[in-house]
Amino acid sequence: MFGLTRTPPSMQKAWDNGEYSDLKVTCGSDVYDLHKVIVCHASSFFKGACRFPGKESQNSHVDILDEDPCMVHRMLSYIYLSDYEPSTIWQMPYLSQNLDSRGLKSYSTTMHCLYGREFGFINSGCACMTPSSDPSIEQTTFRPKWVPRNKELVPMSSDGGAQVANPLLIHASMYALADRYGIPTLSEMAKGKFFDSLRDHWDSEDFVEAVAYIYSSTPDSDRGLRDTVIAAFKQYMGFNVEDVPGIEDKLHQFDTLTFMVLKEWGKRDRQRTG
Amino acid sequence: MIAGRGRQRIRPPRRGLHGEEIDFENTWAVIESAFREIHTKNASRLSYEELYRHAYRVVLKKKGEELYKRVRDFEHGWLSNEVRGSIQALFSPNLLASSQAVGGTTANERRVAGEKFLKGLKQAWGDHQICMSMLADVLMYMDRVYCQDHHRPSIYTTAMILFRDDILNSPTSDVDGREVLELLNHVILDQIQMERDGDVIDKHLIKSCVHMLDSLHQDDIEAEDQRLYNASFEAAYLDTSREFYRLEADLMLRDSDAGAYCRHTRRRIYEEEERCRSTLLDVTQPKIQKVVEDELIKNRIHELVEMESGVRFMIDNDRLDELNLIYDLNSRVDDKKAELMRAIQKRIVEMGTDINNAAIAASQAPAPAVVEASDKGKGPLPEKSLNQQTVAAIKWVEDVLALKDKYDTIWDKSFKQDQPLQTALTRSFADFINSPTFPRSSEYISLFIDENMKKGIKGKTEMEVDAVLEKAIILLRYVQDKDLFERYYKKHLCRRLLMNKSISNDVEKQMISKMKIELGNNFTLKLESMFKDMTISEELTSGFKKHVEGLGEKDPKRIELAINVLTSMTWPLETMDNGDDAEGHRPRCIYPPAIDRIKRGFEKYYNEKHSGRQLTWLGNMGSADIKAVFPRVPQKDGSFKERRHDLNVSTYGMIILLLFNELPADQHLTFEEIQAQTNIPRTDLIRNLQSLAVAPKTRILIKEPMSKDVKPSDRFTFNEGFQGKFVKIKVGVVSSGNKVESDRERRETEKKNDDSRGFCIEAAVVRIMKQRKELSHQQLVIETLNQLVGQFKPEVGMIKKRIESLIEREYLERIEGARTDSYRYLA
Ligand SMILES: [Zn+2]
Ligand SMILES: [Zn+2]
Repeated sequence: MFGLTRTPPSMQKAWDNGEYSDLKVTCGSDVYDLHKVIVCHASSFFKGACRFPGKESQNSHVDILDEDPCMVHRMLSYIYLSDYEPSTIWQMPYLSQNLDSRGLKSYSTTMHCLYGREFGFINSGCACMTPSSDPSIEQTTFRPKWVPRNKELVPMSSDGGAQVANPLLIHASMYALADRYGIPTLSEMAKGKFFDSLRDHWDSEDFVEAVAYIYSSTPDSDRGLRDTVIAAFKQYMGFNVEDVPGIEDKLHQFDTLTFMVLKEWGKRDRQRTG
Repeated sequence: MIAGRGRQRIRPPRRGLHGEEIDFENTWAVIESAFREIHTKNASRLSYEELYRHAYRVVLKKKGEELYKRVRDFEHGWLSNEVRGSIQALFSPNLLASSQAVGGTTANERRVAGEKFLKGLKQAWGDHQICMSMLADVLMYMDRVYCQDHHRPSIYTTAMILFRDDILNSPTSDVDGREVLELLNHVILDQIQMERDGDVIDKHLIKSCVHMLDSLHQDDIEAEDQRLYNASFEAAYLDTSREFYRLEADLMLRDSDAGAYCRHTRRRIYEEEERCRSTLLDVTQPKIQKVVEDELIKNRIHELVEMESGVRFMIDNDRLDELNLIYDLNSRVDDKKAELMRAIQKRIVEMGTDINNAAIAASQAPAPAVVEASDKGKGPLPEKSLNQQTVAAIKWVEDVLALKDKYDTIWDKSFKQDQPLQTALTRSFADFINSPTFPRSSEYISLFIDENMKKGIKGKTEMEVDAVLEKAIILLRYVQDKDLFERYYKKHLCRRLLMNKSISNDVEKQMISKMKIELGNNFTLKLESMFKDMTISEELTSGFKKHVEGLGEKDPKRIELAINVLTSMTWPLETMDNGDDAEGHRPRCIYPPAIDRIKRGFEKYYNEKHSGRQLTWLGNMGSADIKAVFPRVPQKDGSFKERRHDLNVSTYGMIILLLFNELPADQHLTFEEIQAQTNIPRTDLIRNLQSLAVAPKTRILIKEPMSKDVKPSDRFTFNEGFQGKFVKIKVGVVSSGNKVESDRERRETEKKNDDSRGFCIEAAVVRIMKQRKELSHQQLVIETLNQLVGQFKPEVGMIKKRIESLIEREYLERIEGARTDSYRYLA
């Protein structure tokens, strides 16, 4: 997925300060001064909350309980800015303006290279970058194994950005949140980011957690990320989930052990046939 | 790879998901109590976020089905326990009373009870909608996930259906066991009937209930036409309206006149249109309009048109507004407006036939006694009295034109210049104008023009003259047998020109050019050459005069000749014949020597100019000016002197008088002697002798024995004692000038016309066959009719006869063995 999203100045201003706000949203200790016209158009939950003649509409205040404040922050920032972090390296200049300390607490120790070449980019669309305001972060860069040796690739600078350790879990979580709060365009974006981050991040604990999460956070009928996960099993581990009846129903219990077994099995399978 | 330098790992929440089961009953208890609050209008203390989250979790935990069922049961319970009771409280005897019940309630009591019921139902429905939209907001995730995945109607829709089942389909306390829905329909219909009867009703209230019916369906398939509004209410509405308007039509046809009927119908249509807008729904508009139109117009239009105050009355009394109403109503149910058209056409033909009959009656009425009077020298000249018939002809034309004006006005003001109606009007005018019982229209129209050319246009402005000519053209358009008209026009024009009766040559030519536009070049070709002959004749006359002067003879007794040379094929000279020699055999008249000399002189002069042309002298035409000297004889007044008169006589008259120049004073000539010496045809001779010896003012000759009739044995002598009041005396000859033909003349004209038609048909057939080579009989007849349509409409029998004749003469042959009768052209 490659595309730059620039925030219109008026939306940026509306997000930055609480002027003209007619709706207060709180989550944990976070307080947002927001605008009904924007959030109600984006989310059917907020539309219902503002329409229903209960406490919320009486007080123009929606208090969100039982939700990770960091994820709520990402969701609300998406409503205003059309993107959330982590995102691609291309989005860093725009997202860095909106960086604050609430959204992000965990960085990766290593950093896979972001390569470009003259016409087209190999993995610069990986949505694992977050604007970093902390100069002390050190990440060791490495060349991803999947890049063929004979390819001459131009490394790209990752100035102003750091890689997060668990982009897949964040995107999977975002996907569920978008479903819960009725924001279809955010569902699409989270699904896209999840897919774009798979190539450099599938071989990790992040993937294990994300799979288990995906299979417990949305209704069974929601095939969005489920299909993406099954395709990833096939592509990266050579494992066809559909070949083993009943296994998909157990994916909410997916763990590291299962992951390692599958990975090895796939390797041997490939050697035998290859 | 997982933990980072003591930094906190990012972790999305995992609460409330798989590991953590929910207690459905507890959650439902929370939701149910909230719903109860909502239904009792106490929602303000509820947290939407909390309720939403509960419902979300239930659905995520695959308990959507159970939740859905519980909500439905809850609503069902609420509606049947709480709401139904409040509706039943509205049932009152006045409400349940049928509007037809004898000795029942008054309309006003029913209206009040009805409105109370409608208001209660509207309130319950409105409350239900509000509550359910609140519930639907809370259950949004259930609708989106559970209902969609399991193809269930949304909870809102389900609850609306519950309202239908639990409220509208519940029985009333009625003895008939009517359901609330039936009662509702009945109340609305009753209210509308009150409005039709002139009451004021609460339209908004009804409209609210109508909207309710429109948003509910009869069954759960929810087909578009199964809305309660369409399937239940509208059907009943259309049925009762049909019955109402059927009865109303009966009443109005019995009690009011056609104009009032039209106005009332128009108002009803407008009212129903308005009712759909304000009280019911627009979708009903075309349907109820059709009901009104069917009952008040379509099924009644015939009766309406035929009423005593119907179309005929409206036409006769120029009720333009009412005719417009009828037109408008008829157009609504019939594009062709067949009923109106039929009535109009019938009336045109009736009125036209009246005009025709009046003309026939006037022309057949015994001529007033003016003929007798003229003989006694008091009344107008005989010629005028004969015009009695001509007057009838002109009146006919003017009456037809007035009729046309009348219908033109109706068409313009009442029929919105409707094209098909115009065609129908034209057809009806053509029908009576060309009626087989009235064969005179061509002749009458030509006479009308003749009259105007001779007298009518005198003193009129150019514009007025043009208007007169235009009228004639208008009528001409209707005439089918243009050839017959051409025949009469030529005949009448011929006389006008030769007898110098036309007031203005310019107007004559104007008329010709109008006819040229209307009927085409061919039609006017011969007419134009008649004018050309007249011009050439003037040149010949003055040329000959100069030629004679140039001969140097200075004879004081010289006879001056004014001559018209007429091309024989162009002029209908035979129509100028009064003679009994209609067979075409015209005896050569014997001219006196002096006349014969000048005749030969002119022939010589003419032959020098145009060699090879043969001149035939028409003694029956033309006139002569003669100076006559009457000798000194004692007069009745006792005077005794010579008298001179300038006599204007016909050419034959001159020839007769000149015989007496040579005759000694005491001698006489018998009729037979005169005939022998002049060779004048018998009828002409009798007429001329009547003028010279019988007519009292111009009795130049004395007839013995004196009587009105001229007999072969009569003797004639010069009347030396003649007395005239004036120096100039015009000796009129009976029967000159254009007038309506006698029946005998008419038959002749028709025969001649038929002969030339035969020729035209043959020419057309040959033209067509030459081009097409082979053609079926049917096709040939059709094409022949087409070719001749501008001239006349031949009878098919006549065409058949001409084809037979052409086959006999080997222009065509029959194609043997063809499936249909067909012909081949033979070169
Ligand atoms: Zn990455
Ligand atoms: Zn309700």
